[in-house]
Amino acid sequence: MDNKNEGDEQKKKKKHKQKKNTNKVEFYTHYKIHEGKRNPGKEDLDYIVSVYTKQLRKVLIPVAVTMLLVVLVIRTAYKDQEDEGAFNDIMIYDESEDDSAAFRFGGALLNAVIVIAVILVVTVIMVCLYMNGFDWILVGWVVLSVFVILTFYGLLTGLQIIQYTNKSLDWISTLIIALNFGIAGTISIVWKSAKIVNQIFLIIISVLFAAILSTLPEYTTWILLVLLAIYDLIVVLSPKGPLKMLVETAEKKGKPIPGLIYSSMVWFMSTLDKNKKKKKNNKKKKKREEEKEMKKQKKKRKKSSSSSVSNGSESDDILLNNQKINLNSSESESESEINPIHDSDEIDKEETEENEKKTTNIKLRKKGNENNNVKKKKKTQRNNTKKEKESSALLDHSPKLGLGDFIFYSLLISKAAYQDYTTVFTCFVAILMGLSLTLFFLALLQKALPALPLSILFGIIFFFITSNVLVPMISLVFQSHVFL
Amino acid sequence: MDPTIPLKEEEKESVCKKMWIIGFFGLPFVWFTMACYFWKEKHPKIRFYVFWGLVGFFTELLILVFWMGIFVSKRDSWGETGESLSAVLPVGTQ
Repeated sequence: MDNKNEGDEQKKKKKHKQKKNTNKVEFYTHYKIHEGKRNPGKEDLDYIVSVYTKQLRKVLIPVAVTMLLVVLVIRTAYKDQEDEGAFNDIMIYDESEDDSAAFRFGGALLNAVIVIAVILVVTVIMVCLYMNGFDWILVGWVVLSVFVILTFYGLLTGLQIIQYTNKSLDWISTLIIALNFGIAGTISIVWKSAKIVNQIFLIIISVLFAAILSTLPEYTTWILLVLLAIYDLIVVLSPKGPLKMLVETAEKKGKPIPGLIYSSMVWFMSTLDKNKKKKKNNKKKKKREEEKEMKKQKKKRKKSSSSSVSNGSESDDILLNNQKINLNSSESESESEINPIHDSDEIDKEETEENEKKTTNIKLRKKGNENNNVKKKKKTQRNNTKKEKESSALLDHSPKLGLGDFIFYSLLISKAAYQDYTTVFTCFVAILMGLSLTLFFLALLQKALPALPLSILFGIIFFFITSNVLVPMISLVFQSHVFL
Repeated sequence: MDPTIPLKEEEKESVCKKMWIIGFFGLPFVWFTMACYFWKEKHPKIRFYVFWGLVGFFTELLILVFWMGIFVSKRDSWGETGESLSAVLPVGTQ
C-alpha cells in the first residue's frame, strides 16, 4: 500500500512538473492526447474556436431575447415613466432639468456612488452570513425577491401592457394569473424544474427588473452603469477579496452558492471528450455566473422598504472572482490528472472525479491535499459503476451567465428604447459585440472574466454617438429627401 | 437551490407528488410546469400525476378563458358590478 501511494505521488509530482513547465501547451496537448492526435497547434486552435462559437450561440440568444423583450415592454408599458419611477424618491439627488449640466453630473455621481456603496456593504454582509453558515437566510432572500418580482412587478407590467392595448380585464382573472405566474416561477427558479422553463423565468425576471431600473433618472443611470462596469472589472480580476473566501467556503460545503444563474445548455449525454473539453471552457463562465447570482441578491438601496427587489451585481462580481479562482484550481487539477494517461477507463474515472470535485476544489496549486483527494477518489471510483459516469455526464457543463449581466445589458437597452429605434438597434449590436468579445477572451484565456465592462463600454459609446450624431443626421437626410 | 442539477430517480416521485399537491391550491400553471419537467418519465405513478395534472390545467384554463370571455363582452351591461370587477378600464367608447 505504501509503495503504491509513493508511486502515485511520484506520478502526481511528475504531472505537476509537466504542467508547470508548459501551461498552455499542455492544455492543447491534453486534448490531442485524448483524441489520439500528435500534432499540436492549428488543430487545437480550430477546436477551441469551434467550441467557442457553439457556446456563443447559446449565450447570445437569451441575451438578445431579453433585450428585445425589454424594448417591447418599455415601448408599450413604461413609455411615460422615464424619470418617474419609485427609485427617484430614494435617490439623494433629484434630477431636474432646471439644474446645470455640471450640477446634475455631480448629483448623479453622488447617487451612483451611494448605490455602489450599498451594494458593497450588502455583499460583505452576505459573504459573512454565508461563511458563518446562515445560508438559509440567503436562500430565503432569493425566494422572497424572486416571488415579489414575478408576482407584483409582473402584475404591474402586465396591467400596463393591457392598458396600452386598451382591453378590459377583471380582478379575479388577473389575480389568478399573477399568482400562478409568480408561484410557478419561484418554484422553477429555486427548486426543480425543466431547463427551458427555468431559462424562460430567469429571462422574465431580468426583463422585469431592468424595466423597473429603467425609471432611474438619466444621468444617474449612465454613471451607475459606468461605475458598475469598473466595479465588476476590479472585483472579478483582482486576486484577493471576499470572493475567494466565498468560493472556498462553497467548496468546503459542497453546496452551490445560492443565487440566480442562467445556464444556457440542455443537459447532454456526450462522450468523455466533449465533457472534458467543454468543462474547461464552461467552468469559467459558471463561476462568473454564480457570482452574478449573488449580486442579484443584493439590495440596491438602503432606504428602500423590505419588499423591494435587490440588485445583485456586486456580489455577483465577488462570487465571480472566487469562482474564477476555483476554476483555475480545478483546471489545474484536471490538467494534472489527465495529462499523460491514455487508458480510457482511467480517464473516465478522472472525469467523474473532476465532476465530483467541481464543488469541492480547495486552493490554487495546492499539492498535498489535492493529491490525496485525487488519489482517494481514484480508488473509490475504480469500484464505481456506469451510473456515476452517466450522472457525471449529466452534470451541467453549459456556459452560464449571471442574471446581473442580463439586467444591466437590458438597462442600457432600455435607456436607448426611451429614445428611438435607431439607438436601440445600434446599442443592441454593440452589446452583443461586447458579449462575443468577452466570450472570445474567455475561450482564449480560460479564466473567469467579467461580462459587464466590454459590453457596457461599447454600448455607451454607441448610444451617445447614435443619439447625438446619427439620429439628427438621419432625420435631416429624410427631410431633405436624400436617400442613402 | 441549483435547478440545473438533475434529479435522482428516487427523488423524482416525491418532487412530482409535491408539485401535484401544490397545484391544488388554485395553481394550474404549476401542473403545467410539472408536466414539462416530467414529460418523459415512464414510472406509472409519475405518468398518473402528469396526465391528471395536464387534464386539470386544461380544464381550469378553459374555465378561465370562458369567464374572461363573458366578462369582456358583458362588462358594459353589468353596470356597477362590471366596473368594480375591472382591473383595467379601457379608454373610449365602443
